[in-house]
Amino acid sequence: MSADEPLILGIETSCDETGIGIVRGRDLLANALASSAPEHARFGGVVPEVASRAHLEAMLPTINLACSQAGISMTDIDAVAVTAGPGLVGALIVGVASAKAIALGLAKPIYGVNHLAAHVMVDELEHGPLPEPVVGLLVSGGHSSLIKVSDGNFEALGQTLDDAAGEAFDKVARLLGLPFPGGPMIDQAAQSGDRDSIDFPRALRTDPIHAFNFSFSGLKTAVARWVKEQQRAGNTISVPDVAASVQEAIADILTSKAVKAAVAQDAPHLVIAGGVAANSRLRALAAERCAAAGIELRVPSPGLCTDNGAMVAALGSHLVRIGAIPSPVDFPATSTLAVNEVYF
Amino acid sequence: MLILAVDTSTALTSIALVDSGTVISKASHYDARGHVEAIGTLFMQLNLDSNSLPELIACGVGPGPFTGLRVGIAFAQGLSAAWSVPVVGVCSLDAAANSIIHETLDTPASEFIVATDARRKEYYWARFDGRGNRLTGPSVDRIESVTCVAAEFGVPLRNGVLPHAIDIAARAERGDRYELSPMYLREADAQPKPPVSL
Ligand SMILES: [Zn+2]
Repeated sequence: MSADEPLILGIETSCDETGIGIVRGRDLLANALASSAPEHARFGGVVPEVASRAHLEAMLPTINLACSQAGISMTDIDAVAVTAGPGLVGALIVGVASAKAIALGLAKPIYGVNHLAAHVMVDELEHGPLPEPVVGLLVSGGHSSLIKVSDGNFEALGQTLDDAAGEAFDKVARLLGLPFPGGPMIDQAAQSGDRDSIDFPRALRTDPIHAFNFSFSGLKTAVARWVKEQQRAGNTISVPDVAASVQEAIADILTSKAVKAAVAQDAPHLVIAGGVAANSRLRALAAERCAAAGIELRVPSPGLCTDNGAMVAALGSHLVRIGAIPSPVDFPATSTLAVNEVYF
Repeated sequence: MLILAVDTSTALTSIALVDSGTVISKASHYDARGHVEAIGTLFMQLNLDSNSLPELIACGVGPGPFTGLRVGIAFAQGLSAAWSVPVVGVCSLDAAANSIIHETLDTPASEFIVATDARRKEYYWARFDGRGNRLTGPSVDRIESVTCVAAEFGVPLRNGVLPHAIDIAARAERGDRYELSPMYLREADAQPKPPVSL
């Protein structure tokens, strides 16, 4: 294998996307995806057993698709990387067992990696080497956290105390009668709404103890209360106005804290990743505030923001390039994994 | 035929390399929740000769607790892809029946029921004739119901028998092969778990 251009197979199964990525060095060769999201829609959230079954069925077809997209054969691979956590254990296990078999079968090294760190590292595939120190804002249906990367170490600056940002979008969407997943629906509805029409709360805005933590459960309650009050008063509810105002509250709190964190950490760069990074208002507000603070904003394209295999391959490639010792073959799949544990 | 076999349908994770009935190497580990941790280590313990790959991979497809069951199947299909070697599924209760027949060779063959733990006070079970041919099942039912059936028909109920990969290989050799797809026997959304989002 070439030490700076290793060919890495990345496997991601932490939630409802079966993602297979193939990366050579920092070049993205393939990013194949199979999703069980439509099967979860009627439950209004991801059902772990449904997701796990889908991963097992999708695994080989998705690997084959990725190999043909990349124009490689599986035996060309230099190392395998797989998400070991955090995530749904039953779902993670399918990826980890598959990855172990492929690595052992091909007699190649394996890296059981951290999903959160991979979300940040994927930006290298589009925007080149990650400058350090850098602050990462990770926002999705499962996580909302601020991460600092410096000297190759990942450190959690803060996270949500209750719901993730994407969860908040889902719950508000349900209140408004919009289908799951809520984020894209709210974004769409908000296009024709007035974001200043309703002043929804920004939790933990000024609390110094929670300077870099988030809380979104109160927002859902506030929206529910507001909707009920309007109904009681006999007012018609403008879904676009509610959507735009909720989206503004979420984007405002996320971007203000992210920029504050970058400034506090002397990090001239901010990376935003995770499914919620696709939100148009979040991107616009982040761009505006980063420009004002003199911070360079890096946001991977939508397909690399949501859960995918390329991000896992990107982190695997990074580990190979820095000469990290491969994971022991008995590493577990774990639902909780702090971001400072980059791999097993 | 050189077969690499795997089973993770019970608390026993097992793996074996068997050549036409002769066990070349085997390894196993007992832990109801540790399949994905154990499987790689067990594979290494086989000390496979990379110059002579198996001609067939056979894997227990249950029935069995889902999370553990999927470890073996994902591992088997991963190996199959890495090596370009065909893979087949074997009913894990067929394998358990095989081990029962093996241990009672000297006794007259007659019907019996094999049952394994399905949790939630239920058994996965199937009825076999004395030569190990499956007559009914596999099914999942309450423990009392299975016990009643056994008593009513005067058929011995063998529970707690853990299928081993060696028996998976034997059944595959015998031709009792299925698609490599889990025998779940229960609907995914029947799982009484609240939806979560990650
Ligand atoms: Zn994610």
